[in-house]
Amino acid sequence: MYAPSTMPAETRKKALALPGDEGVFFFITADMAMFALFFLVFMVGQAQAPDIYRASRAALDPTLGLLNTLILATSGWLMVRAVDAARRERWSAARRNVIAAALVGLGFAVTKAFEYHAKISHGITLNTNEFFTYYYAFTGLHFFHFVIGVLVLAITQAKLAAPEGEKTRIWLESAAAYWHMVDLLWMVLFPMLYLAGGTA
Amino acid sequence: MKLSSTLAYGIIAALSISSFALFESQGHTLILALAVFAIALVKIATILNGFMHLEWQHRPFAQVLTGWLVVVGAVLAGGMFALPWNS
Repeated sequence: MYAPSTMPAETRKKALALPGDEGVFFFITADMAMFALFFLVFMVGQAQAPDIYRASRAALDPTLGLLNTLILATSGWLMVRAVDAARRERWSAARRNVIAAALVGLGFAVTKAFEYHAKISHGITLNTNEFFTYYYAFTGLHFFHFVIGVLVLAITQAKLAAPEGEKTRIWLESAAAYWHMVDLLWMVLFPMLYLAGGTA
Repeated sequence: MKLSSTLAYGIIAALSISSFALFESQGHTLILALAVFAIALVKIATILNGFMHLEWQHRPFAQVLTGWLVVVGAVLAGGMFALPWNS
């Protein structure tokens, strides 16, 4: 295998290319910075009222959080397979994997709807206390990103039905990068809200 | 080093189940809380490398996202140290 400095120019250019559109990576970076601020706000709130946070955390079901983690990881892996297939110009396989990623990802929506319904039917809402304000705000905003991601995957599979070579590959890589960001953010939200910090 | 996506997926799934098992079986201590967050950060690094294929030469995004990981890690760890814990 070539070391980057000894590769032919074109191969080297491809190896150094960002996996997706640069604008999408700008958006991902900005979005993740915003969530980092949310994590900070949550940690400060938790340090000021640890008992409320611990008692509230006990009302969450970490099994559902784990299930959602595994759903998003599986869906993310299917997107990687789609990108790999597209790079080999196997567009049908890429499309199948994108559809599978979206279908598996929809499990996240089902679990989240079940979880929200259970909380609301027990009278736990956005106004219950500070912990649940953050819980609904952060998971709701994350869910909004998820919904946008599913729509992007729907558009992506349509584009893969009539692929346009490099243009479609870059679109798919960008869609995959966005989808992985949804996954990344959940990897922090799950332990922060459901696990670490203790329960009463 | 580029991770294969299937290996990355296996690592993420195994780590997710491990952090959940730690939480379920060992109670709630500062060390375990830090371990759970450390596992989360490893999972994120695995996604960046094994799923997004973001490598060090992808400037500036690889550097910025690595910085994000460090900052978030510090925020989460700081948040845990700020809490009262029973030894």
